[in-house]
Amino acid sequence: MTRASLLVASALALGLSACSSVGGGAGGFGSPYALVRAGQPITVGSGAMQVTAPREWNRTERSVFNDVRWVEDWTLNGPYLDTISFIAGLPNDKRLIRQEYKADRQVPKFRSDMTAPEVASLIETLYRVEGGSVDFRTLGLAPRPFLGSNGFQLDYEHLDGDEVWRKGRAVGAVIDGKLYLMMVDAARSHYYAQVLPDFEAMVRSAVRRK
Amino acid sequence: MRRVGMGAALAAVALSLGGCVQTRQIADLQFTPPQGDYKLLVMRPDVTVGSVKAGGLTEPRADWTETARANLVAALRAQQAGRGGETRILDRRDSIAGVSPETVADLERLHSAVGNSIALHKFAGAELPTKRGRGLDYTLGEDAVKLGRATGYDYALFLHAEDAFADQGRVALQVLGIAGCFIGFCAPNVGGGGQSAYASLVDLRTGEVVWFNVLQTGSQVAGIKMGDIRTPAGAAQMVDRLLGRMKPGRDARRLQAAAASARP
Repeated sequence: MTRASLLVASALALGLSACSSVGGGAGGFGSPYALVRAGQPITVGSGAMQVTAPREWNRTERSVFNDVRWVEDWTLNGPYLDTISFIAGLPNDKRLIRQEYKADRQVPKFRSDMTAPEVASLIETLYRVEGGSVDFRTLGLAPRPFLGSNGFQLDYEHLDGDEVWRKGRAVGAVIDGKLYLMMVDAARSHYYAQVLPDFEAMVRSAVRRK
Repeated sequence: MRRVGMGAALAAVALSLGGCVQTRQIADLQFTPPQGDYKLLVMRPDVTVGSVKAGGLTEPRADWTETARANLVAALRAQQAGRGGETRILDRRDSIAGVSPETVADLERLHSAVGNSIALHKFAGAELPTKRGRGLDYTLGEDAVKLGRATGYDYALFLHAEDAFADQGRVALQVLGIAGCFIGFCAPNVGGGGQSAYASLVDLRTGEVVWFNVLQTGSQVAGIKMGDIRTPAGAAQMVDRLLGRMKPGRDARRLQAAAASARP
């Protein structure tokens, strides 16, 4: 069973739990999303960055067990279709994602002296190792100011295990040895174009909090 | 990156079902079921049928899958024949003149991601606050509109079906578990197979998903089936459960009720 079909089977089992012989059900677990209101500055990640959304978004509640505290994800239509990730001040020697100690393929750790191409390579490895991407293409890497510093913009697209092409843009900078990054990733068809203007508005609104 | 762990996380809390058959449908608020002179394009059903091994893993079976898909296509054809609209069923991706098989495949894959999102956020409790109270609110975008323009069809129907049957090893394991009760040691219930399916109607004039229905059948007893889509009767039963009675959306129902009460 593929990951996608496993997900659907599980989702349906949960959603139609009225005929379950075991107690519980969808309502008992609660939604893992909170509403982000439009036009209000929101502190993201561990609190080192603030952004303002041009319309309402859904903020994923973080888990102390699985998530890295500097990283936060938002979505408009659900993570299968679009995600904006905020990396707010990732320190030296930390990863963008929590991994099993014994995982065969490790995502490299961020290093304070990384250049833009090295961060781009880190992002590609993240998609290939943990994102299930079977193909990853860099479309462009160019300088771009971010948070008042010399940063970069990476554009890419990737084909995932569910055979859907997704497209992404990462805008970031290494400031005081820490990584500040915003990434948008969405289905290439329709959804990328739908969320990109929001992402750009949020990049423009981003403020570093010391 | 959040996409990465979701399947596993949900699978971990998936509940085993008692013997039951359930459907639940959600419609766009203004949706009214197609009637009269509509043109419906039925996409190639996305079907997987497998065998549940003693250890609980499902192993896909190509022969069962092909049989089930053919049965479902035949059942869809018979079911739609009684509806009045003009229906065309795509059993191959290259069967529409002027539309490349890649275009059809891309749309099917996008729909799969959209269908998974609807299942996750509308049925599994992971509700998105921005979509609360807004009906379905999902779209396939311009690609679906282009398909509608190229073919002249009003709607596209997508069907996803998974079915799994306990193999002899798993049935034996359950028999052993029950037999153990007689000597004072009841083994945990290992459960049988089950069906998960959804049908999704897309308006090709707007690209919007206007109606979505899910079906879940399951049995706690290995070997007991709640429908078997490898047989023509089981496939017809699944199609009827999914598409037999399309409900209008909330706003359309209110309008209909208001019109009915205004009548003398």
